[in-house]
Amino acid sequence: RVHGEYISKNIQLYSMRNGYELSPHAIANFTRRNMADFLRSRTPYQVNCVLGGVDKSSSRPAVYYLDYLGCLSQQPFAVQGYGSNFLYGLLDRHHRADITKEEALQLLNMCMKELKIRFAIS
Amino acid sequence: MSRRYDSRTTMFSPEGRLYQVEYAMEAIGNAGTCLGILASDGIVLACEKRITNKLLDEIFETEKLYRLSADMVCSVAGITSDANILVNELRHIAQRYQLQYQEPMPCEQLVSQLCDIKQTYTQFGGKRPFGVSLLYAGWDPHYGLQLYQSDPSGNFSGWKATCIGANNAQAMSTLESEFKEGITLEDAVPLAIKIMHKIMDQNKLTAEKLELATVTRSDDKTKMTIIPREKLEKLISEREKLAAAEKQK
Repeated sequence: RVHGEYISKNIQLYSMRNGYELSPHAIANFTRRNMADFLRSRTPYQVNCVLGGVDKSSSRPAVYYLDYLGCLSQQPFAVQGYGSNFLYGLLDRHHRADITKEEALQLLNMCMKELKIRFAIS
Repeated sequence: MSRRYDSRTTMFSPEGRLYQVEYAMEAIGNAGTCLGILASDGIVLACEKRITNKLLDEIFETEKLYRLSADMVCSVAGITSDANILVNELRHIAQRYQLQYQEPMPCEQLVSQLCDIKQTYTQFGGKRPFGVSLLYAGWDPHYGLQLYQSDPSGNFSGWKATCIGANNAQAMSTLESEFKEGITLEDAVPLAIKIMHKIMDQNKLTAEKLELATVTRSDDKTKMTIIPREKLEKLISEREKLAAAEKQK
């Protein structure tokens, strides 16, 4: 949580200083750089993230997978945690490059249902 | 004038001036001129070279123009050794940004960060300010093509056309009358040559003494093109013909 706050406040500071926002690509890389730098310090972050954003100027959406070792990858979809073992299969099967927002929400619901059945989360 | 207050860079004079900063600007006023014009489709930077001894071995491609990053170039006027330090620092700043964000650094941020460094030399440390003014030309996705100028005080501003170095006042007044909004690079380059011709001793403007570069944007890439000597000679001779014709009228 502390790491998340540090990142988000830095992003806000950037906007205030420069009058424009950081792009999702820049934010993802900034977060990764931060994680990677702290990895070999006495206080590494042990946070796995899934990042998502829409670039203001190009209106392009992007999803990133970022793990606690500082591995960053832009993907059509990303999962962190034990659920990933089940969900990646489901997402691979149902996700398409031209998927619509409604279909994506349905897919998300499918994933949650799957987790309830297989993973017994309340 | 209170000369007692001018030897410490970090002291104000009773009139509220920082003499060391002003002296630094004097040093630049004697240095080779640099001119920049922001056209709608590119930026032209023209510089007067002062070092033209034929015994000099050409190690560097340019004397006064430097590439700072993929999207920015600068030209310097003033003490060359000071300029080298600043250009090196500018390159570091730009690359550090790129390392952190994996994106090219926006122009104004780069200029602003260097100017913050320059400002500290006018306030702390007891070291003299850098005797360099810089013209920065670059592109970023936020504001497109931009032209900035910074001076030893650490002040900077964005310009449509500006000039630093020797005879810059004369160049600025000419620019004020001749610069037109929406000027294209095709017209800006001859205009730059015209002004350089005017302010340098009329008979002495040769391609050897001039360094001219254009910064343009094509195919999603920023290009800095240094105009080759033959093309410069052609542009200069065209200007001289026009000048002679105007004199005859």
